[in-house]
Amino acid sequence: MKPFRSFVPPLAAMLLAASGGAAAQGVLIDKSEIRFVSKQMGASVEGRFRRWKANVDFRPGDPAKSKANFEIELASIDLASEASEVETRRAVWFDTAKFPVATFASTAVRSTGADRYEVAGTLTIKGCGEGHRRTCRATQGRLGKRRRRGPVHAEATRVQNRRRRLGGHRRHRQ
Amino acid sequence: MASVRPIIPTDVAYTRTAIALHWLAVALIVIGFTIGLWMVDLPIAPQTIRIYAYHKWIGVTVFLIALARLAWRLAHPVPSFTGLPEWQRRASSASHFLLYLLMLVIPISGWLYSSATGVQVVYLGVIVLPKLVAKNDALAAVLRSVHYTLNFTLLALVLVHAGAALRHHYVERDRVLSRMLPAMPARNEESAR
Repeated sequence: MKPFRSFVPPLAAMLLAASGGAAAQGVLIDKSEIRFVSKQMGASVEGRFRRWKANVDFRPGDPAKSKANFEIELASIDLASEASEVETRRAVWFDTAKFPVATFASTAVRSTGADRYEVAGTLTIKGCGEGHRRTCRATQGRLGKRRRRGPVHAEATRVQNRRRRLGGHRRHRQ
Repeated sequence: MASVRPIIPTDVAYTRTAIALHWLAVALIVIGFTIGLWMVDLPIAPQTIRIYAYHKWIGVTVFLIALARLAWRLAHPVPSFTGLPEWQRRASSASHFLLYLLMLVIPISGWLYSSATGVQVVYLGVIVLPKLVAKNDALAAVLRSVHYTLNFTLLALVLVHAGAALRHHYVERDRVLSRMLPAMPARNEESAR
């Protein structure tokens, strides 16, 4: 049982504000979230990052020209307990003293149907990530019936081997 | 159990099933309570996560046993015990009611607390329990206190319950405790009325 193996966000959900129309659209950070789910003994454990920045140029009418870049402050992780948040900042995990920020930079965005987009990009954690690609699925959906225009919901799924990504994480605490 | 009845009058003994479930609940509550107190100070590690999981499994089991005991109780009425003062009879009913209530409510409070911290409960590592509430740090802090307070209320009640039983056994020298102890037949003969 290696409960910590999947600490790095396997899923990141990003809610992007969509104001409609074909113009470039930004992100409403306060209405958006980067969340993830890890597994501990078969139980899912929810988490999120409290502080992150986004530079998104979302063009629903021309997805190929859309771009999405995120900077996630890893020390701002929100987990089940403060003790586990402190743990993830240690050198064996994120090593936030040396690598405070994880980045995601899109390399290609394409539409995969109504309100759905696939975003490929590079996720860099602990300085490694070059040459690795992430695929994202973006949905411009309705999260609340009262909203006239749905926000954009995006999920980033890790496609690469976690082990390589995290570097020294295998040496988790005994 | 039916074959036992002619030998053991129903007003003397609890059924063997009731006795077994009672002492199983006692063991699990003591273990679960102790683990709960201990685990909160452990450092974050895979081992700690496992211990938290065991604590949750024990809680769910206590809940299920409480349900089973209530169902059994409906089908097999509690043996009456004559000769108790009215206040003792009332105190006993009230404390038994509260004990059952806490055995049901405490696991639910723990489940709620776990849900509020964003951690799913998977009973025995197999049965996925639904998350009762969304992850919410403020709510989690409240539920943590609730779970803690309810447990210490249970501890107080258990001490009263066990203290009363011991008093009946050693001071009053009646059969209040004996009816919940195993190995009834021998004791029963002497007390046959």
